[in-house]
Amino acid sequence: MSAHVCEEILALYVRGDLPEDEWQRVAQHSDECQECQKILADLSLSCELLTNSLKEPTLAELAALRSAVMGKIPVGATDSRGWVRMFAAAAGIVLLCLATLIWRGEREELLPVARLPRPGPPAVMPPPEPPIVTPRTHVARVPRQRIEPGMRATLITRAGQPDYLKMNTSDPNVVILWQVQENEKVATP
Amino acid sequence: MEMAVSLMCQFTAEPESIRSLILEAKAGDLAAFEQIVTRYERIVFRVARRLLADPERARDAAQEVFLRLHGKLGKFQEEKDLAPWLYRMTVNLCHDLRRRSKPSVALDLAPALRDAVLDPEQAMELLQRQELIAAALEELSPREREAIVLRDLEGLSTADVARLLRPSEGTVRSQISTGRVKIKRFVMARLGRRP
Repeated sequence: MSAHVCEEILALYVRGDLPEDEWQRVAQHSDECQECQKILADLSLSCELLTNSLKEPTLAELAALRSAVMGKIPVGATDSRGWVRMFAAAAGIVLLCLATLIWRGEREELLPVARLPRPGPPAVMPPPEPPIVTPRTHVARVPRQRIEPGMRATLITRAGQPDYLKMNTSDPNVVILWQVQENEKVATP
Repeated sequence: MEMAVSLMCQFTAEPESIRSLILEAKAGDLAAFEQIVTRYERIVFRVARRLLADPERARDAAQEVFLRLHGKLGKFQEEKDLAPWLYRMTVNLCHDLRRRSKPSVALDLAPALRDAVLDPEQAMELLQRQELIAAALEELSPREREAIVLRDLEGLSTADVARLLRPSEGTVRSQISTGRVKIKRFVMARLGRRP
């Protein structure tokens, strides 16, 4: 390495902040280069001054700092987990209430009659009559008869009563009674 | 360098005791939270002071970091490491504070004057060195400053810094390199040497 090493590289070299291979190259060069040795000497001096000139804080200063810190911590904030505990307690109370409500609800479902008042009859209205139950009787199915064509008519007359025309159909179960009006009467021969 | 190594170990592996402390603090144990503060107050305050260069604002920032930690304890997973979270919160808070107000240069010098062990010459020399470095840090961009503070002053690895600040490792390496060169040039110019 014949060219000078730049000052920034030497500034890293002086305190061992270079990678190993680069550090070796700079070391070889600075062994032979007086210019670089001069820069390295100045860098070492300034680094030495930097490291050793500034004083450490005194015990009195540290005690004052500690006292100020501890004096400024609010008393209510001493327990940083306090809010967690309060939240846990509140959650426990809510859970207890919920469990009680659920338990009571289950009891009400088990004993509905005991807790609900029995509804009495209305004071004014009469008691409802029992429904009329018609006994269901057996109705024999009548076989359907064939209706024969042809009708027979008979005039029924009675004193003081309107005349009827009785018409027998071919079906013995069907008889037609026709009330004859006055204007419909015809003179019988 | 020993301090840096111990910090790296602290960053990568959180002891079991811290996890149990987090659990107790989550349950509301203020004494456990105070132990957590005691454990990390030095790191948080130191990073804040180096990023802000103002002890008053650094104390406010550190205080805010721990108050936010307390506020988020309920969501914090104790199996996660606390140190990266604290580093990230401190850096972000200080970044916001610096953006909102003008940076104050070299105000973090009073402890040197209060140090009774040093004789006047030593105190003056230390004061000058502190002033020099504080002014040099002010020359950096906010991201370069954060990378330098975490890498060179807190002793975190480049990979850890990249994980905290969320750019790529290459970007962090570039910020660290540029920051060191800027500090070197500033210091050499003040010391009357050729940059």
